[in-house]
Amino acid sequence: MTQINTVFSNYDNIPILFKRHFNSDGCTNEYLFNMVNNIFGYLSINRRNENGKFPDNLFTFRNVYAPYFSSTIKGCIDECPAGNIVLFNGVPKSLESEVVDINDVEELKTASCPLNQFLTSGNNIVRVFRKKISQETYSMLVFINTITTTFVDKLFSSIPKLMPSLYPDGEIPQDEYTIFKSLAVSDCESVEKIINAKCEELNIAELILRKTFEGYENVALEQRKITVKKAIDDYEAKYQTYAAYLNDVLEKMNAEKIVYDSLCNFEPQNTITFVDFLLSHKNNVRCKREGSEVYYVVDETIEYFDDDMFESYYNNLNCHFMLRANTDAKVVLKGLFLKRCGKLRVYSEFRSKSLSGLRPLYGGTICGVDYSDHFKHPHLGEYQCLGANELPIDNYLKNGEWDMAIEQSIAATKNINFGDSTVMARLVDNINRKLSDNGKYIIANNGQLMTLKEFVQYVEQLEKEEEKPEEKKEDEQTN
Amino acid sequence: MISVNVKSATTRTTKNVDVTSTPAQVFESAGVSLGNAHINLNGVQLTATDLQATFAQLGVTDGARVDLNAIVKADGANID
Repeated sequence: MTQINTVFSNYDNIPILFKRHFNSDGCTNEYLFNMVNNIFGYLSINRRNENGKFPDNLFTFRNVYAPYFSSTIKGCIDECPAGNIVLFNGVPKSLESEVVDINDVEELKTASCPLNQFLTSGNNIVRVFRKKISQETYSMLVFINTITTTFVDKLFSSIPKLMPSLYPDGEIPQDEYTIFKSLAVSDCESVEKIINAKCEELNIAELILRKTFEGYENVALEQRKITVKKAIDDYEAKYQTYAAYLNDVLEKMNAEKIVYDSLCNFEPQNTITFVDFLLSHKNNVRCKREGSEVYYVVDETIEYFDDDMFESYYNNLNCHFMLRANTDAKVVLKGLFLKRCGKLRVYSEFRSKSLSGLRPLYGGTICGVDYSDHFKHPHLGEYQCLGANELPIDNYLKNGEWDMAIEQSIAATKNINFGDSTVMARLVDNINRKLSDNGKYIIANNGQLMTLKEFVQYVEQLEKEEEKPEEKKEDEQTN
Repeated sequence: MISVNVKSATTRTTKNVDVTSTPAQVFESAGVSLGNAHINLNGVQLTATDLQATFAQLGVTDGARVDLNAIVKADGANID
């Protein structure tokens, strides 16, 4: 039944359409097309079967307004089922002729008797094509310049001749005959009366109403879902913004809490003074005071590292930082971290505020000490990264144990982690660059301070000496 | 007798011991585990051999006050 209301989609306008048609004034293309639609709709309804369904080769009408692409025209023709009329309005002449080339399409040029009247209707240039669908069935393709009231009258007068399949018994039903006749004599009321009677019989108004609001609740529901989802997304975005801000505030608050806890736990009677600590400490710790802030520099050698991890990187041909090392730098790295025949001299600088906070600095000469024969510590000096030392340091400071926090910072200076490729890449770059320096960057295991070049020679010499006993053994075996 | 301030991540205590005792003994009496720790005596790093040497052999004179620290070995970068 849904098909019925679609053919009378302009039901509400039917009286107006017919009045305008018969009065001619203000009868636009749109009105005329709608009216033609309604009459064809009426014809279609008359061909329902007993169950109210339309036959498969339903006679319908389609109009295509001003298609400017041949692909559009061909698409319409291909989709047009048997027993249909496609009305092309305002198609450029050049595109009309392309239709002739389509398979199974022939133009009805020589107006045979029944079509003569239709083809010469009014001032319109009308071309009619017939597309063969099967042995006995056709669809009609009608090209006109502009639809007019005269064209409409002639079209419907010619329908029985154009589409004889609509009237297989050769007889026109009385109501359809009345409509065609009324159109020819501009009898508006008769046409209206017949159409309206059919609409009332089928309760078209209700069907159209139902069709109009079909699925309306679902549409409203979907729209509501979209609106609510958008609101959720907006709140989510706001939440993320606030969460990031709160996280930042929380971090700052926790940092202040650490300082506060350390101040609360500060018990002078149980601790030594900072001066006592410095005097008793044998490590090279130089410091400078600026108000409540203390800057200190730790002068150490790299001693704490993972040999196995370095060996795996050293032997890995695709290791990121080893690929950066030139030949001599590789020897330096091997001597330091694989053979352990020397220690790299490094320094790191820290700032402690009121002995309750401690952070590494980029490093420089703030303590007025020349460390030109030391490497800036790869983690602490180059990247201000305490890594896993941060947690114990914070814990010490919370308990007011600033001396242990400083000890931890010294221990951090002895360490290097090969797992951090960024840090290692920086270290390798520095070794590459400083190979030509005169800085005594290394304490060899014979106790001597060496430049990187001297250390390369030292490592190579040691390797030769290691090979000699093996050569002697081989010589002895051969002898 | 010497006064030894034993300090670690979990312990902070003072032990009065003889100069003939060793750092290992002092750590044991203080209940400090030495696994994965840097050991230093007044900032001077002690090797495994040094831990078994007496304080006198390590240069500590009678009546002195020294700091014996066990510092957590931690990596310079957090690689999870």
